[in-house]
Amino acid sequence: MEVRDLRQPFRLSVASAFWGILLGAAAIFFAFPLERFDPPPVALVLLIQEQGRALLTLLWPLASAAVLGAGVGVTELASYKELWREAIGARWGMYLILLNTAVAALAYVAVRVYMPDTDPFLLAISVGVGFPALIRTKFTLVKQFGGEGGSDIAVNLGWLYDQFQNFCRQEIDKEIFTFRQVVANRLIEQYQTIQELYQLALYTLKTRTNLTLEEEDARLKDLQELIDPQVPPEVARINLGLFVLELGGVGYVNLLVQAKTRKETSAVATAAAPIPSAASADSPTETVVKKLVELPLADLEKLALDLLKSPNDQGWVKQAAEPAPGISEVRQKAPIAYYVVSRAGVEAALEALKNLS
Amino acid sequence: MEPKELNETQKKMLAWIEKAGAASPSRLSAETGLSPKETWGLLNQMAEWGYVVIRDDPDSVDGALVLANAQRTMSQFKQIKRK
Repeated sequence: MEVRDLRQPFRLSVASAFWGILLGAAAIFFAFPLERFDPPPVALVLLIQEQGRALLTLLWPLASAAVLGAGVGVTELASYKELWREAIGARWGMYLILLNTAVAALAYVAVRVYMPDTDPFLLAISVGVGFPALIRTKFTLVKQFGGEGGSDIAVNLGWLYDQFQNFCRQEIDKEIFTFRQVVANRLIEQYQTIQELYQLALYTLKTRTNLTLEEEDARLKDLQELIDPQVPPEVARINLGLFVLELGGVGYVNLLVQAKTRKETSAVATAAAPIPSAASADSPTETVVKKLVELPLADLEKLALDLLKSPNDQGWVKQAAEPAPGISEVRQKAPIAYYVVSRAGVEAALEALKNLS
Repeated sequence: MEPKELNETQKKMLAWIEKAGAASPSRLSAETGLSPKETWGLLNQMAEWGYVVIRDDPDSVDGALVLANAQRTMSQFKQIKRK
């Protein structure tokens, strides 16, 4: 299934720049009457401007009501808080805004028919902002004689509007959920280990400065629960990815992913690289350590003693290689492997491994 | 579990873990110069007292990961920032 990029509508593209320039040029064209120019432009241009201005004069209250209606739709989507951009970018978010635009325009036309003498400017504003209340008004077509109104025949447009709005919200929720999952997966693909993801989560929490104390406490508790030893590693990874996404947002996650993908030394990539020491599973150190751990303990001890000549290092290696009841062999070998790589370096450790084989 | 007073070696270990955020116990052992047995013994005690969390990690060479307690790390970070 193809997942739409819900941030796309907010990115400046060539197409959006083109439409922006075109609209700006049209606004300038219609704002300044050309007949005052000396010499005046050709008759056709003058005619287009004149007709256009007449059309705009006729339509601007309707357009204003529609734009205000769209604004009301956007405001409704603002209830998604930090995800408002994704909500607007969602397919059903756009449908909701379009519905509000259309309903506001229709409401304006309807009210204008009933109140033709009202000032169009005031009418456009009141209908544009107040149409949700207006369409929730119960329009009674046939009223029952002498009764309490129980058998009146009425049109309840508000109910229809509410149903559609609820449906839109459900669909927006689904689309945002899928989009977030895709973004979090992108992060997890680049930062594959629990170690990296936890380091990212801590770093993000430290750098978020606009959280209240209560919010921060709640996030810290959440984070602590995510790394609980009872939580399976796969679940912990996904949850940590979602945690970073929730805390930092889509833009931040995209920056982190780009920084890891490109491995550039540009200012942006460097600024986004969270912890220089964060060891990914495929870093040179980890790769060599894994190879060293595959050796039998005695061979690894010999390799370490051949490579590290200082008495302190030799003493540590011998002590680490001594039989240790309760500690598995791999947990004895891994510290020695790390010790070798940290003291002798990756290249020397690789060379020693080659010589051994 | 009531946090208990750490000895000097444990404090050194904790400082390293909090700086890294998370690490494999083996790397910690190599970095701090403690033997694997000593490292595991001290870490288990620290985990029991709530200073760190030790959990399974298939990506770690030794199959385990030691993570700094998020709440403690944050409060340490704030103290450093205030200074």
